[in-house]
Amino acid sequence: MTSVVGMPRALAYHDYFPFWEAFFDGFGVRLTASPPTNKALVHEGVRRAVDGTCFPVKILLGHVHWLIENGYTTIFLPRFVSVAPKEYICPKFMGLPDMVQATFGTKAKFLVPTIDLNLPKKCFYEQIQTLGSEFGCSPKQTKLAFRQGLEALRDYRDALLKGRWPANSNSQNADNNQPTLEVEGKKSLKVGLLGHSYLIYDDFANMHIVNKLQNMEVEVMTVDMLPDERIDAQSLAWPKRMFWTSGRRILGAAREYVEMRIPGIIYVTAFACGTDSLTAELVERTLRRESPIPQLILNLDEHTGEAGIVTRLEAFVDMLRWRINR
Amino acid sequence: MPDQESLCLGIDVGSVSTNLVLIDDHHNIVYKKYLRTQGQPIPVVQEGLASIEKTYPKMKIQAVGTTGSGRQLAGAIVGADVVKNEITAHAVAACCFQPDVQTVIEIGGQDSKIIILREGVVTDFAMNTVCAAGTGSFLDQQAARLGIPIEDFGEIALRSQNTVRIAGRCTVFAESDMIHKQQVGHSMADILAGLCGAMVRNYMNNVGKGKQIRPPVLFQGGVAANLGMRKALEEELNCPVVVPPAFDVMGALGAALIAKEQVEYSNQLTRFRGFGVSERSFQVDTFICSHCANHCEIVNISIEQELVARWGARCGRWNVKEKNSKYPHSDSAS
Repeated sequence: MTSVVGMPRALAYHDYFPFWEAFFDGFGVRLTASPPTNKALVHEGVRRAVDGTCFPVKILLGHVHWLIENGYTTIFLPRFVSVAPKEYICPKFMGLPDMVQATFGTKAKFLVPTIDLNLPKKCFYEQIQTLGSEFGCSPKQTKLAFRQGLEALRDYRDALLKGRWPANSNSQNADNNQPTLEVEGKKSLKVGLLGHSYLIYDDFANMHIVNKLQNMEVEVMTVDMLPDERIDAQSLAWPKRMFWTSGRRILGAAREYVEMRIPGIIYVTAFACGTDSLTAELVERTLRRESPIPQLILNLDEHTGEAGIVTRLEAFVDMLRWRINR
Repeated sequence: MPDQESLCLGIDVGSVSTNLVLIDDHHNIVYKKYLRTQGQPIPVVQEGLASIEKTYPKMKIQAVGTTGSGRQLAGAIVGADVVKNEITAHAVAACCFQPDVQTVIEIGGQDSKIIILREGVVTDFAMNTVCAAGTGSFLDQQAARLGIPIEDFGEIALRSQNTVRIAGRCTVFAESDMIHKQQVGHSMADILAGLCGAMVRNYMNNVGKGKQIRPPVLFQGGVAANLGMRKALEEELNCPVVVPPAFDVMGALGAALIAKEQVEYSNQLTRFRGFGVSERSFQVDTFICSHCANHCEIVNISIEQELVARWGARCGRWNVKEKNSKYPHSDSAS
C-alpha cells in the first residue's frame, strides 16, 4: 500500500491539514503537501481551469498538477460539503473532486472521502473508517488515528488563536511572536483582516498583504485569532443566520472587531468569489451604517502587478494613522 | 523672484501626465509644469527638472516628494525625501486649498477616486476597481472617435440643449450606443453632454457607491478641465463642485507639501540629487529571476552604471546593499 499521500496546499488545506496529517500518521502514512503557492504553479492551474472559476480554485488545480508532476500517485482531496450541522461550505468545494478528476483523469489515484456533518455523525465515521481500511487499518486503529487528528487540530487552532501564523506563511514567524509593535513616534496600529483562510494564509495569492502591513508597523489580526465563542455569539447578532461556515465566521468576526473598536478592517476577497459576493456586501453595508470604523475591500485575482494593492494599503494605513493622531 | 529662496518640489508621475510643482514657504505654487508621460517616465521627469533649472538657475531645493503610479521610479532617480501614495497626496493638497473640504473627486487618466474627509481627516476613500470606464481615457477615446480635440470637449458639451442618454457601464456599450445616437441625428453637443452624464453615473455607481458625499466638493485631476464633466457632476450631486486652480497638479502639490513637512519635522537635509539629474544617463534593465518558481520580474535602476535602486522581488534576495540604499523604500512596493 502507498505510504506517501499528497495533499494540495490550497483551499481546505489551510483549515484542516494538521488534522489529516496526524490522522494518516496514525497508521503510518505520510501526508505531504505541495509547496507554498508560486507563480509557476499558478500558471499551470490557470491553464487548466475552466474560465469562471475563482482564483483559489485555479490555485488548487496548480497544486494538484505539481503533485502529479512530482510523482505522487495518490492524492488526498476530501469532498467538503459541511463541517457543522445546518451549515455548508462553498458549493465549489463540493464539486471540487469532480472538477479535478475531470481535469487530470487517471494520472493519479484520488482519495475522496465526503465530509458532511449535516448528515448523522454515523455517516461521517463510516467515511473515516473506509479511509482507514483503504490502508489496511483496523476499525480500532482508525479510531485512534482519528482522535490523534482531532488533538492536532485543536493544537493548531489554539496556536492560531494565540496569534501564531501557520508555518507555511512567510508572515510574522511562529517563534517570533512579539507583542504589540510600539514604534517611536507612531502609535501602534491594529488592523483586522476578514476573508477566507485560503486567501489570508496564502502569501502568494494575497500578494503578501500581511507582510506589507507588518512592514508598515501594523499589527494584523485574523478571524482565527478571535475565540470561537465570540464569533458564534456575534454571528447570531446578524438578522439572519449565514449558512456558509466561513461566511458565518467572517460576519461574526466583523461584529467582534467593531466591539473591540479595532481601528480598521480589511476584507480580502477573490474576484468572482460566490459566497463573498453576499458576505462582503453585507459586511460593508452594515458596518458603514453602524460604525465609524474604516474598511477597505481588496479584490484579488491573477494579476501580479502589486501597485494597485500597495497604493490602497498605504493610503488606508495613512488614513488610520491620521485619524488616530487627531 | 524666488531665485534665492528655498522651495519644495513635488512630482506626480501618473499614467497619462507627469506634473511638477514648486511651492514656497507659504504653500503657494510658484511654478507648475504639466507634461505627458507617454510611457517614458524617466526622460519626462528629466525634462521637467531641466525646465525648472532653466527658469530658476539659482534656486535651492529644500525637499522633494513623489507620488503617482510612477512614484517609486521617480523617487529613485531624483532622490526623493518622501514617496507617497496618490490618495494621501490628493487629500493633503485638497485640505491645503480648502481646509473645510468634505469630498474630493479625482478623475485621472486611468484611475478615479473619491476621498471623504471630515474636519481635515480622511475618513473613507475608494478607487475604481477592475474597470477603467469611469476615467479620463474613456473620454479621450470617445473624443478621438468623434474627431474633436479633448480640450474642446467640455465647451461643446456645455452647449447642449437636450442631453441624450448614453449607456455608461462599459466603453464598448457606450460606443455602440453613441454611434446609434449619431445615426439618428442627435447633435454633437447633446451626445458629448450625454457622455459626461454617462461617465458621472458610472463613477457614482462604481467609485462613489455608498459614500456620504457632502459639500464642499472639490473636483481635481486632469478630467476636471472638462466643463461638461463639472456640470454633470453638479447636476448629479445637486451641489456646487469646486475646481481648484491647480486642479491638474494637485497630486504633485500634495507630494511637495508632505515632503516639506517631513524634512522640517525630521530636521534633515534633502536627499535630492540636484538638477544635474536631468543630464545624467539612467539605465533601467529588467530580468526574470529564476532562483525559485515565482519568476519575479526584477527592475534595476542605475545611474551611469551604478545601481541605485531595485525592486520587483518577492523575497529579500535582490535587496540593494546598504551603501546604496539611501532611498525611501519603507513606503514602497519593494
